[in-house]
Amino acid sequence: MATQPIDDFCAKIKPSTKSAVGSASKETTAARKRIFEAAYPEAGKTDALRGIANAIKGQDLAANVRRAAESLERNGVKVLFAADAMEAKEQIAEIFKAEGVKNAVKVKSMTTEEIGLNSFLQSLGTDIVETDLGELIIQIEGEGPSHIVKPAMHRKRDDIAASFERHHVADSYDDNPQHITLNARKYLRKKFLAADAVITGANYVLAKEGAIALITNEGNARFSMAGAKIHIAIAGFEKVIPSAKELAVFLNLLARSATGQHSTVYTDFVSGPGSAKNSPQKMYFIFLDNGRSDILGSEFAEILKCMRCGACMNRCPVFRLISGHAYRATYPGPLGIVLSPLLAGERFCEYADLPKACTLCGACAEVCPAKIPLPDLVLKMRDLAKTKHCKVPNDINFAPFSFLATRPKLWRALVPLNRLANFLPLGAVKFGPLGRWLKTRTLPSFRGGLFRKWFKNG
Amino acid sequence: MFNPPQDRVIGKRVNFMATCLCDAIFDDAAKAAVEVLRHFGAEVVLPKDQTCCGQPAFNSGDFASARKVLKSAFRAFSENDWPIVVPSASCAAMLFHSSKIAFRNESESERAEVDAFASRVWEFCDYLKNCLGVEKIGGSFSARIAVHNSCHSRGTPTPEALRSLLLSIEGVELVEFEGYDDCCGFGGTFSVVMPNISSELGLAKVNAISAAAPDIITAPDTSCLLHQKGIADKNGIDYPVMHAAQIFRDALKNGGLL
Repeated sequence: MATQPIDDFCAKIKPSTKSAVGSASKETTAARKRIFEAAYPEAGKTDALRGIANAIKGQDLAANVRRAAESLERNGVKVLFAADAMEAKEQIAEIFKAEGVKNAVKVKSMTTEEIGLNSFLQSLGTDIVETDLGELIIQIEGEGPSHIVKPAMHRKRDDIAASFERHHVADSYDDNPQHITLNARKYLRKKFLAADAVITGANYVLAKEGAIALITNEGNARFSMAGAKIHIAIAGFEKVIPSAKELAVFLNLLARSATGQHSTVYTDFVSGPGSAKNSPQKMYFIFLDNGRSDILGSEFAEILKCMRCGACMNRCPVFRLISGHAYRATYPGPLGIVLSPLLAGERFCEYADLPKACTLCGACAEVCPAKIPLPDLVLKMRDLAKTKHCKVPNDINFAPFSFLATRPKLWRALVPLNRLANFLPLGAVKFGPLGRWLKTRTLPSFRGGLFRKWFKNG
Repeated sequence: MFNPPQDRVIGKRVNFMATCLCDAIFDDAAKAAVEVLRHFGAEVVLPKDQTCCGQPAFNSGDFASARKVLKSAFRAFSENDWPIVVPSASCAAMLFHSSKIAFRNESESERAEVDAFASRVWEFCDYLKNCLGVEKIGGSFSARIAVHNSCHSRGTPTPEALRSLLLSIEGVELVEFEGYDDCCGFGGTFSVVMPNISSELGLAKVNAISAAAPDIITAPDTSCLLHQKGIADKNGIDYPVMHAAQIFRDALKNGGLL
């Protein structure tokens, strides 16, 4: 029997991972629901706001990106465009070389995960440290994030405490959550002070104002600006919105959707290099394409409206069960099964199994703050995989089915014969789709095939 | 999410689309649906050339096969322009929502045909309540019932119609259970493409529903129930399932109305 990587992952997943991801994602979904009901008790209001967010993100993106670049430059930001991951990494390496950056800190950014920035910079001898607690937890273990908002969602407290001790973030084992945080704080403080540069993403880029918005809970974005002399921000160009006015819509949706908070603890705006001595003297902004232009011009453009809140994965029955690492890509869950294969470009077929990891239940679309029709996009992805002739394990050949289902006379003749299956030892089949069905399920006690006869006589 | 078209064709003369599952396996659900429709005044015809809605191929990404099967369905139901009633939320959503995706890149005339067909399609409970205007099934059926919301009824009038029609029957008590709007992991071909994930989700659903100790588990679909029942049997869990139409029919019979 051909193996299906995602499905195999589900069978082998550690029980502790499963319970950590299952309970955290369910709790976050429940928190999201509660906070929206509290914020907008009027029926339909949350839905209307989601519709507005979708419409704003649907405005002329190319024009807004051009305007954002001009505004940023006007504010003293050096603006760069990177066609792909490698170009973005080289641009950052060049800046580091020119500015003599040896130590850098990073503020949680999925875009930098997407381009594989950390390992690249480390290979050049740069010390780059994640300052978000969740990111730090996975960085010291050499793992990637398993969730776009809660990167260490798959980890349990005792395991984090042991890891902190092993990697000298803490002096000894201590699994008190507050102490874990304090140990990280102590460890990171030295890193913050030693940093020559800070790398951030951008939750939103305001085209009119030429500013970026950084939305965090830990204050690490703000704190990292105090020591570093260089600030490099990088984001996919779809993060551009027209102006601060539209930002109000997104700020009302993002934290509520992501973590069930009315707003995060910190909402920082950076509009160019600082004038004060204790702030970055130089700021760079990199607009990353990395396949996005192609997506924008395709029938998958809606996926670029994503604001990376993670609500879809928190709500997804499959994600809850298998965790983010099952998806083998930066972006997991309903978002990821659409976006990851598209971002893979030439290597699309390597990820063509991801869109199959979806029951098409539609729950994600109900919580998406940008109202992205995720199940429809998933189906179109399956169509694309088929037209590209990707080989996907466990795929079923539908030629025999469509042959029968388009020949009504033959179909009519065969349906009553289905009763014969009552006398066949079908339960013993061990291979193919039926074998996979029977491994965990019984077949119904067949009675079928006589409805039409009944109708005619009845 | 799977919202039906705004202006749907209405009328008391209807085509019944049995669905391939009821046609081949679950006769009684289809019979019950027809008996209930007739009881409430519908004139039901069964176009003989019907086969399937094409969903198995469509959900697997084989849109070309799905289009062929859909076109066959368009032909099969072309003798009149009456509503088409389907005892399955999933097949109904395929016919009024997903068909448009399958044909999105086809000619304008084909897309017009898809739209026209889509506007005729009604899920069985939705049709009873919102087209025939049935408020009360009547009769009696003494049972604690757990309702599984078929995921393809998300965003449609079906869940509300199903619940209110069940509650209109004397003796029916609906039981609540955890994760009532979570998927059971069936997902059509998903069940055999991702068998581990599907089975585990299915067992979680079966356990959640069983914990509420219902007498009957119902849904507007036989497919989700087929999966859940298969898993329950394999695990030795008593899990009596009935399609919603069978409960309505039995209630009417119990009340001497049918």
